[in-house]
Amino acid sequence: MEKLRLTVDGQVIEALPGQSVLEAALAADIYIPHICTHPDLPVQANCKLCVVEIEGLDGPVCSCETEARDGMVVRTKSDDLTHRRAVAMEFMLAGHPHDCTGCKSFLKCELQALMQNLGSVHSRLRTIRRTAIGINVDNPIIVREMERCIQCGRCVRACNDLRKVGAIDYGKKGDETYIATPGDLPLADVDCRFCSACVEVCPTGSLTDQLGLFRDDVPREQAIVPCQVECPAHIDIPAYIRAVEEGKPGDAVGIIREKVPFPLVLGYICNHLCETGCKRQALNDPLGIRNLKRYSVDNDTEQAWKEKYLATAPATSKRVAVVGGGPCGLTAAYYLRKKGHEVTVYDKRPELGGPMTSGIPAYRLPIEGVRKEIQLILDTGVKAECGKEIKNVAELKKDYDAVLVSVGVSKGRKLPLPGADLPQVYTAMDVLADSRAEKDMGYLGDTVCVIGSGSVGYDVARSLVRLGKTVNLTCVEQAGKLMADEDDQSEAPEEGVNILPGRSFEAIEGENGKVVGLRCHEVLSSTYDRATGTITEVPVEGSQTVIPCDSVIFATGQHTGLQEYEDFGIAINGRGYPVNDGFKTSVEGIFTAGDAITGISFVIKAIAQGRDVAQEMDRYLGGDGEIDETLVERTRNPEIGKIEGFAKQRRVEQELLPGQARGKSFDNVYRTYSCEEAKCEAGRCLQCDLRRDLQHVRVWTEYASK
Amino acid sequence: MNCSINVEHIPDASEIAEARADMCVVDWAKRAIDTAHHENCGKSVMCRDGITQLAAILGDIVTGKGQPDDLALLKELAEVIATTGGCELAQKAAKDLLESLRRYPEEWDLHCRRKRCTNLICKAYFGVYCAPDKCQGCTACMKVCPVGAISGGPGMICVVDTDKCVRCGKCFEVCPHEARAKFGAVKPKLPEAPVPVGSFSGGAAGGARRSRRRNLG
Repeated sequence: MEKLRLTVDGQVIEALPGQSVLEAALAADIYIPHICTHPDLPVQANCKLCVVEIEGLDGPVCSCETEARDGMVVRTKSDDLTHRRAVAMEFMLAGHPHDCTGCKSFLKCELQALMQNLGSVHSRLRTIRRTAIGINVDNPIIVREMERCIQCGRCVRACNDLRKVGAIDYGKKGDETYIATPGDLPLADVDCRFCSACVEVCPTGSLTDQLGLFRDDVPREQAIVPCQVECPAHIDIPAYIRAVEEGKPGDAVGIIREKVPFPLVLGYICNHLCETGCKRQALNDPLGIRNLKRYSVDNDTEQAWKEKYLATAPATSKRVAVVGGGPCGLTAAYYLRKKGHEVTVYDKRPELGGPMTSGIPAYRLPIEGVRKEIQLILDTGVKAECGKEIKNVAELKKDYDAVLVSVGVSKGRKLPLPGADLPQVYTAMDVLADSRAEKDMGYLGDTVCVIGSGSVGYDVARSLVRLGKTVNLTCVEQAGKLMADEDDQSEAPEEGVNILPGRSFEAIEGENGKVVGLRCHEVLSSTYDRATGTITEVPVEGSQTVIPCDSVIFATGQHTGLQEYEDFGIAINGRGYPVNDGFKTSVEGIFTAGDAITGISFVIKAIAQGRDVAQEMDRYLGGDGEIDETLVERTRNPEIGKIEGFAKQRRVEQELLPGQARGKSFDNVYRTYSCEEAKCEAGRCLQCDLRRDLQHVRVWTEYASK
Repeated sequence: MNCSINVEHIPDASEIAEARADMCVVDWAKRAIDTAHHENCGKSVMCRDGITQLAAILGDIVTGKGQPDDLALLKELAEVIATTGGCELAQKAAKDLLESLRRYPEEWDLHCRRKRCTNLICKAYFGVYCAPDKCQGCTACMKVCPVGAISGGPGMICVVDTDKCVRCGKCFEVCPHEARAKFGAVKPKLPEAPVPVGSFSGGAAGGARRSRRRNLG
């Protein structure tokens, strides 16, 4: 495009046709004071601070509303201009509180910066006391301290011109003007979309985010999108929710796949930390983010992301072995393969996937979907060696440039009770693997006791109920303090699982070498002291009973099992975990990640570990460690518009099949959102990420010429 | 421009081209600024904060709270407002003020420094009294006074309590004998309490005394 040339304070600068003098000057790093102008908002020429003198024009003009012309000669500094700016500032400050240090925006305030730039003080003018306004905290997201407002009108333009929401405007009480909602109603009642664009553009401390809404231990740019911050893999959640809302579930899957290779698994069983961060829960309920992910995967017919997803960088001739093909190992394998390395995954089980294929029951996670996701990883050229147990990784390393130990925690742990060595005493891992493999589970007998209230215990109990067993789930934790998530706790009893909480276990009773019962008594409390290994409990007198059963299943923790090897090739600590410094083990070139260093955790955490270790290993192998990629181009429409009753829209839940029917079948217990439900739920999103599109306003100190 | 506010409510500067006995140029300028203040839409610093500021200063000047520097300050601020584009409302009101300041500096000085209003228009600078030689004791004024500032009775010369009086002017309208009048810095000799009609001889013509200057706002 043809550029114009104009002179500003003796300096020749270029401008684009249509640019204002202010825009052109700022772009050329020449500062002109201004406060009502924002680069993303229409010009209002309200603050009169950006006045300049232009040769040939009579009197000063606002540079924000004066179009740059070729050959223009502009002066930004003169005694008259300085005086005009000083008076305009004095006018604004006359009605502005003096307690800068008590303001949430102290040192982040554009008005304060301008005061320093222009040398303004709270001045000789009359102090104007405003009465129409005050602190308004009638909503949990945006704090409005309107006595700090200078009515620059940025928020009004953001809400009306940029967002087309129209929740705020200029209002008037008596002779006093102020920024108001229609009828002075709370924001929720005027269909505010809580996008917080008004907060983002406010140059003072008048509009701020409610304290505690965002984390303060991450950069602000990230913190303002809390779902994405909370997600261990930092999936671009607002983007995929937007794709669902726009009726593009395939795009949503592509966006998810930019960060994780297991959208389906996560859509079905993720522990959704994102939802705990969701800003919407301050209004009513968090978005059903996981459910929207599941909807996307179940409705992705085109898989338009596939070509890019499978593309790999040119071969590097480096060879990597991954020991353990669970979510962490497979994720690392995928990203290392994408970086051009030759990757082989070793797994002692007959099938890749770790708990995704051998632990998590079918009523929670459909195995065919998992297999498809694993197949895509293999389609990139990752090799798999299943049924091959690696007993010494140092030996393996001789054939590879780098090795990843991502063995997870696949060995169940039994409590040291008398009778725990009876043949009908099992660990959850064994039972779940058999159940998942649809083996005959007759060996458990008719009645079982499951010990442990975590999600693994519930997985076992709910699986066995489906096989017609009488299942008692018992644990030391008191009722109301069980460890599994709330869904498990409410759904399992409906399916027929007996929950017996608050028990202390004495022994597994056997007769003729066969389990006949679990002897226990009730406790009011029980605490375990890790340091001394002692248990302190308050028993209920006379509560000792024997729960009759044919088998006992321990869901009381898992470990790596690495200490069982004579020499695994790397240093192993006393609890069976690799000795690690970050992802490094005691041997150079051998890395470790996932549950093998964190202990038992959630799939999304293991995936995040897989991503992180892949980056570190790629750098070790000479790469740049850059694994982020864009599979789907984004468009974000800043005009979100008005939706009646937006703030009151309640969360749409996935339909839960009736308890009786659930207890008899391994079919998934939830029905995926319908298209309508998904769009409805996605439409509740506050679109926190739109805020990132608003440009940062540079204060005067950031300009070369001020 | 931002606002589409009609500026025709703002008086025209030609109204004060000549000095008139029935108006005060300070009061006139204040009304121009107050009108702009009342009308302003809030979208420009000059009307929103500038006119508000002028209104505050003028409010002080007509209520005895004017500062010595206020006239220079008014002129400085009004000049900036009058020469800043974008808000016709603020510009027109500020120009009115400047015109008044330019033409009648003595009157402004009188208000600001000596707390007086030549034509007894600014309420803080005059008092209301009943001329004892004209009053017929009809009590019509007592019936309309909204604050009960007038004491008297049938056949008695009424007396206005200056501290209570709010200068609403209602008694001027109803007095059938045109006995109502204003006083400025000098208060005429009057009965201190109601006396029968015809019994007060001091009269307005008698020796006047200077009233204590006070804030009557």
